[in-house]
Amino acid sequence: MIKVSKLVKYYGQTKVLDGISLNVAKGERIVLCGPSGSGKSTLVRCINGLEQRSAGDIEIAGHKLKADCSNVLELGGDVGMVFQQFNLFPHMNALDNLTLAMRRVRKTSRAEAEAQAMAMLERMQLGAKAKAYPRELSGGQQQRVAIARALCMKPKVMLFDEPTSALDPEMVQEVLDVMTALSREGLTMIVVTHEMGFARNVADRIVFMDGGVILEEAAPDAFFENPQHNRTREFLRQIGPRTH
Amino acid sequence: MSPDIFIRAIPIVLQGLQLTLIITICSFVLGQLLALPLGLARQAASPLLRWPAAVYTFLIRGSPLLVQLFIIYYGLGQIPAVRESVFWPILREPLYCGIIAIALNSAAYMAEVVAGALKRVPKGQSEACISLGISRRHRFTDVLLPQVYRELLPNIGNEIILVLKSSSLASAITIMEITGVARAFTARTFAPFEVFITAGILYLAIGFAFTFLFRQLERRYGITGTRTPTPEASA
Repeated sequence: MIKVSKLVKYYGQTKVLDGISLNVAKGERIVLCGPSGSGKSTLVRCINGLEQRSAGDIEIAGHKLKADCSNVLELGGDVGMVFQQFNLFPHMNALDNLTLAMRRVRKTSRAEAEAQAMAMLERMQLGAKAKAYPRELSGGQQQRVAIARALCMKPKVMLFDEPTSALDPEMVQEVLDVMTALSREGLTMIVVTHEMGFARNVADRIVFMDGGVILEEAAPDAFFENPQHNRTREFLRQIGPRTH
Repeated sequence: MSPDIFIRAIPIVLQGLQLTLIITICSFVLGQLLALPLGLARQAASPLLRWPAAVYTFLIRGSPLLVQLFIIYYGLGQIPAVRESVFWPILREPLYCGIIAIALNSAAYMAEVVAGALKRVPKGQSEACISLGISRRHRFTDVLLPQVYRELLPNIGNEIILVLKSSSLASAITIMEITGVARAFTARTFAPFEVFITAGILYLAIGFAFTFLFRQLERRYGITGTRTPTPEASA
């Protein structure tokens, strides 16, 4: 479903990704973790064409992404993205946030798009908030609307870039619950997160990055019980209190 | 100062009201229409779009409107090619020249404001569009510009007041709008104080009406404080 090979990315003179290769099979759930500045957000942003890359190949959901990202719109919603800052459209209510791309990109009729969007909001337990504007919603609700918006495009892959980092602590769980439910439906997912409890529950594979390279990949049990790399052990120690 | 002349001045000044409103509204609308493509060009990636727009705003903003009015009305008519062109029926009329000059001016100022507001829309808005596969055109028409114009409503309300005040300069190219008729009245009566006070009050009243109108629009469409914060550069 996703093939990244020898991905290199510079910001000016700084090398932020240094030869990343990563294959993700259909239905696989990957958690990407690592200290801040390790390049994990940059990696997911390269994978869906929000960042240009300096070298390497990316193939995702059947699309070969060009290095300058000029064909990024061909992904056309096949790759859903959930952002740390939600990035809802502030001048539209929740329902219109969901239907815009369905109507413009998938060319779904308004009635059909609204019916699908309502069903999606119900699934997120946000049916009552369909007419609410983003400013009238809590952070957790906004992020669930953002997840619903991406799901309405029936993506083959979902990418989550620190989806709970901007949330108040009491709202983190409702978003993680939605993501856990999604993971049970066989959707291919890459999640950048510091929520190690979620990683342990949901991930098929945990990928640990540091300094722009992948240091270690393993199934959750092996990753948490028997980390191979010093940097991984150090990271787990630092982040430890948030594991349980 | 005499109350008698005040009363005589009122109907005189009101004769100019219609032309003032025509100039103001036409220049304002034309200016807004021109400001959008200019503002987009100011922001464009291609220097072929950016540079002409930058030169335009530099020339227009850097020189006085009165001078521009004289150039367009008196100056262009000197050029035979202009007199023979299809534009001559328009450029020969002082009213059209006034509207064009004020509109070009307003467009130059608004273009900068539009470009600035576009720059301030958080990058995440475009990224959300890209990740949903929304085309460039719809990104602008459905997501970016609605946000830009909602944010700019107060600036646009301010701009129509500036255009209204600029319209008084049209009297310099023989147009008998409020200031024009007031000057003519003064020439006959030698009583400038009464008639210009009356004219000033009328300008204030029109400005107040426009301000009120835009307040209503802002209340209905404004989205102050609804921006999601700009995402921090996280690696």
